[in-house]
Amino acid sequence: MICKLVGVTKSYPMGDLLVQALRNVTVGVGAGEFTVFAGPSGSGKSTALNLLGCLDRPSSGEVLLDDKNVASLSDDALGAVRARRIGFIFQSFNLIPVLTASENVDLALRLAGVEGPRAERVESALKAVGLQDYLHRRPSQLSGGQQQRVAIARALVKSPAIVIADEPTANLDSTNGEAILDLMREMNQKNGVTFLFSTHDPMVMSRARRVVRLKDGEVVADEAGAGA
Amino acid sequence: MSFLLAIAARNLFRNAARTAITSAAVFFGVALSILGWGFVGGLDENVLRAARTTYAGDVLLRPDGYPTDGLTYALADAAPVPPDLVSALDGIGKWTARTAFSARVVSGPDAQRITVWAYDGVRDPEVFPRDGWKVEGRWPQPGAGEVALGYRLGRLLEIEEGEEVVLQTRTRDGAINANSFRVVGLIRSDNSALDSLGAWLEYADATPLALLGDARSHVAVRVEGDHDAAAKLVAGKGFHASTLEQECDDLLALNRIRRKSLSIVVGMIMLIAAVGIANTVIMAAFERVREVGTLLALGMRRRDIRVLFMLEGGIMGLSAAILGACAGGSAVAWWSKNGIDFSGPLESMGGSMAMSTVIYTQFNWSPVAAAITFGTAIAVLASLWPANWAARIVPADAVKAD
Repeated sequence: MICKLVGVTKSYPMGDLLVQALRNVTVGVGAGEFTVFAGPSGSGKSTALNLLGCLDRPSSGEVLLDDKNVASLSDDALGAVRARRIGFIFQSFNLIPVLTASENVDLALRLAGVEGPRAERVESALKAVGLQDYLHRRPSQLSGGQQQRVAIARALVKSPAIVIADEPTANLDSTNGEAILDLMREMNQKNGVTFLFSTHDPMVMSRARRVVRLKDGEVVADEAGAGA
Repeated sequence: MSFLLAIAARNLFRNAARTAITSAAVFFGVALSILGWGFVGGLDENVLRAARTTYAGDVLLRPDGYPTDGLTYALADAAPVPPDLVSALDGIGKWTARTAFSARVVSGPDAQRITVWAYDGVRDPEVFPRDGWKVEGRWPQPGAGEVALGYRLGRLLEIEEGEEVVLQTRTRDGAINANSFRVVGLIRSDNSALDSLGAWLEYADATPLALLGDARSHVAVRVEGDHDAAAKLVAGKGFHASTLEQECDDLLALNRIRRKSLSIVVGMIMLIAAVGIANTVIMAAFERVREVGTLLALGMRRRDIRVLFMLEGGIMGLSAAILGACAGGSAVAWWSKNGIDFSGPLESMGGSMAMSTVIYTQFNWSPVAAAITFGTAIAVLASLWPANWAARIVPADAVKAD
């Protein structure tokens, strides 16, 4: 397993109440998987992704990355883990608007502490997503689909252990959504990149090789997907 | 750091109008402080120069018992310069004795109360070189019945060079006397009070007019080095001594008040600038929560987020401070060469100020450097709280923020 939640509970204070987003969840993702966390809003899929992506800490239980518990690491140590081991793709693309496409991709390498010349890796990553002619465009000069491709290049350029994508097609039309998903599937199949998604989009689920269903903070099903 | 600097600089142009408006407060604060300090420094120099070059020298001696207010000229209290004082004066530098007395200058139907300065035509220019004075005509010749008047006095009485005037005064023994003199020069000195109400007479002409004998009211000394030490060397010999700085203390005290008032005004402008910068940076942080969350998610350290926002405030402060310093500094540098003519305001005060009508601002680099440092430091400090707020953002929530 690359990463795993073991007996994880996550609670949030909401006014005087304590809302349990995850209840004693144990689930893991292995190398080369193309897995979807599916479920309705409030099911806990995004919380699970945040914990596996080291963006948050559990209230109890363990978060294992490469078999090491990272739940108790400091903010900076968690940041370093994210920088080197985890790629992120967000629903709203989340590119830095003042940076060009190549600078956005280069940012991931810089933060991962990659030494030496990076330009070749950046160009290669953008070429892999079909944006070799858009290196110097800023996000505002790119379409939504192109922005998400830059985000994919940014996530993949540092060769992470896992790419975590939180509803990556939610802000795209169906054509662009499918194209993006096909691109990620291709990277999974050709290069063995591990992908973990959260979604409630049937189109995404149809391409997943494994679907983990969550409901009310618990895993209710863990099954092979239609894309297996 | 250079990468953070580049991002910070680009971020400032995302809302250029807001950045410009915020920077304007720093710009004006820095420009105004440099202008103000240059002007008040120039006033100090002006006051000292006016006193040094027209009546006080570096050390001024008056007979014991003679009024020291600089406004009253009591001829009865004037006294001969004793030989031991002459020896002491010869030992410390160049000196000249003068006798000031009140008189009326009459020109046709017009008359005006003035102060006449009787002087020694040989010694006087050595102590008061009159560099930069403007003389329409020439200085009087001794014993020729000639007088020089302040140029504004001449203008007031509509006297032209070569015309005759009558000087009326009480002699040293209290009698009234008057003599006719030919005006040979109209003098524009460094001292507005002398230009308005002053006349210069050689002793050869002043002595018979006021029966001065060898009575002297002022001895002005030019010395190299410490004025206090020089004053001590010549004091206690029938004359009391005061330094140039002591002579000007009242006007310099006024300037100290001006300087304090200016500091308060500049401080208030900088406070407004600090609030503006804090507001701009916190607005930027609020608007960029998702972006900050993304940077944290990608692995940027919290302290780098803090540095990023402080750099934004710092760049804003530094660039505005440099522009303000360029504007204020250039104006001060230009006026330090060309001067500002305050003839109008000083004339409206009746020419009572012992200072030049043209004020040269004082330019030096230390206030410029101080203003830039202060403006930048204010900006960085004002960014501290917003930067800390941004650095504490929780990435899991922030990456989905609207």
